[in-house]
Amino acid sequence: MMRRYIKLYFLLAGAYVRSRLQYRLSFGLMCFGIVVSEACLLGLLGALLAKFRTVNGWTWAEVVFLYGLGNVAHSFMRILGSQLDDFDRYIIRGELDGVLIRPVPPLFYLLASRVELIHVSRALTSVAIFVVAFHLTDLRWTLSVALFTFTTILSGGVIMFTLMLISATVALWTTKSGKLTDLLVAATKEAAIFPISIYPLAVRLLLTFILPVAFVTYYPAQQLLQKGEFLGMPESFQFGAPVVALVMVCASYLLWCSGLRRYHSTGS
Amino acid sequence: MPIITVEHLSKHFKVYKRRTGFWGNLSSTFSREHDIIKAVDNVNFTLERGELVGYIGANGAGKSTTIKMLTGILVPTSGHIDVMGLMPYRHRKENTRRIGVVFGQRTQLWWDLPVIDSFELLKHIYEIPQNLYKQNLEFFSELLQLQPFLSTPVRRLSLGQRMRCDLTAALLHNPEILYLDEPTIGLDVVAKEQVRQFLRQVNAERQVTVILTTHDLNDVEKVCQRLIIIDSGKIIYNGAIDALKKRYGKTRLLIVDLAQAYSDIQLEGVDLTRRDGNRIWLAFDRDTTSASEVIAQLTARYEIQDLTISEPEIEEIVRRIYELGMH
Repeated sequence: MMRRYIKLYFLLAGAYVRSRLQYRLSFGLMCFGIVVSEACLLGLLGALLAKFRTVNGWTWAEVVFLYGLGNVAHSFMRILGSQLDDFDRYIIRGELDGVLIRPVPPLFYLLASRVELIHVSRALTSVAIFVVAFHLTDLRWTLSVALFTFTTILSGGVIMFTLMLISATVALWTTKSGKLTDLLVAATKEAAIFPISIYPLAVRLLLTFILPVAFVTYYPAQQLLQKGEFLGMPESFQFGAPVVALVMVCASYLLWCSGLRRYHSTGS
Repeated sequence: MPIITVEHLSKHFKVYKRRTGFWGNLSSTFSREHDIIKAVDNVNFTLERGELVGYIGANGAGKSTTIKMLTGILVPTSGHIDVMGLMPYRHRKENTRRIGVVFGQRTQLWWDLPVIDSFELLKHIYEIPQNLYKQNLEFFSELLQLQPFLSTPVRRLSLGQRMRCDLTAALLHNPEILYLDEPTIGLDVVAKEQVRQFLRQVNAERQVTVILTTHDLNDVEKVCQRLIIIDSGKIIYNGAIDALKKRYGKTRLLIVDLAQAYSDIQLEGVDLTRRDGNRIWLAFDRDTTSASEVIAQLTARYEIQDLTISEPEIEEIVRRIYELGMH
């Protein structure tokens, strides 16, 4: 059963990638654009930190570490959730009907049928940045560090993915949700790559309990970098990412199912 | 025992009222004022295994909504659907394995990939055994002459070629029922004829039950044994085609461009139904009057520039049934 779905995922995703490769030039330009834009962002970050040295007690290396961690999680989420980039298109054009006549779970079918290479190349860039950042800090690869980092990236990716899924699911009620998704994608990414201690209390609470992006980078980084700044939150939050991810998966899946039930009864 | 049983089936949609202007928009975001549209309203019918049925009606009559409920895309507001012992919505996955669906307006194939790739993907999606897949692919390629463009990307196919591929895609997993939503829309005469012949053949040789919606009366005449007509969500006719045509499809229309605007036009056996400058619309009964008689009369008395004959359209027949009622 599991093997069938893994195979089907790669077949469907492969079909999408082959479709995109029909337009080679536009793909090449896209990849080039990503490398340039990432380099520019990092350059800007470097320039700012060279002037101010630290951000709220975070050194240049630590901020780049956070940036890398957030970016890796974000870009892996984007690969998995490529379909959610403009999910409302499915509703507007009635393409969801074509998904519902297949003997496969609709969410699986949707996610498998689109894997944007732009996100793959972004993920590669961000992994490179993260590895460099890792070595700029005092961290050394040990088994426990590697395991914790891996779990953090996985949980972080899942948390960001569920946020995106929730915003896309809104389209099942409102028909349109593209702008909301764009906003959430941009906001969560920005929020994840800076220490949340720079924000006022209300924003910190928002990023902890409503859009739990702080669990993607900030809290786990407390463990990895031994910063010990918890801003009045329980210290156990540094290990909270997998739990938050699990809760978010359940919540977003329930919302998706109820959205689909609504589509089943309205067709729009 | 019927393969499809539909009892007291209704589908109502809520349509929320929208007001114009900023404040109107704002208030309609919060208020829940709505109208109820009865897209399908207490519909009953059954289909026997191996039947070939046309399901027709004007735009917005409720055809697609019915098909969507039968395929499990939409949940009925009330009533009951039994398709091969399954409730299509509740047993969606199992139902989809045993049906094939073609949307004439929208291809189910992978747009940028060679045709054969779509078939291969469907093989995996439906878990079709390799030998059955090969056998079916051979059968349909031969019947529909797909060989020349199996490795062409779908986007470069003509509409007719694409429809032939869509038909194959819907049948590869040996479905027992085939639903077609306007399969001949936009096709030229040759391609239409090909599709019709194919449907007859698939129905006869493979015992596939076929239900198709269409606007084209010729599809129904040439393909279907039975006809169900829906109008404003209600079934207004369910029976053989011949009976219907005898009763309502008798009138043909001749549209004539005259050389000048003659003041009074008199012809035997013909009704002048409309007039616009030099153009006139003449209706006549196909059983009592032939088109050549009408044209002969016309040319003898008036100078004409151009003429066309139009056969009654589904919309026209539906309109007439609606006006006259079923007798």
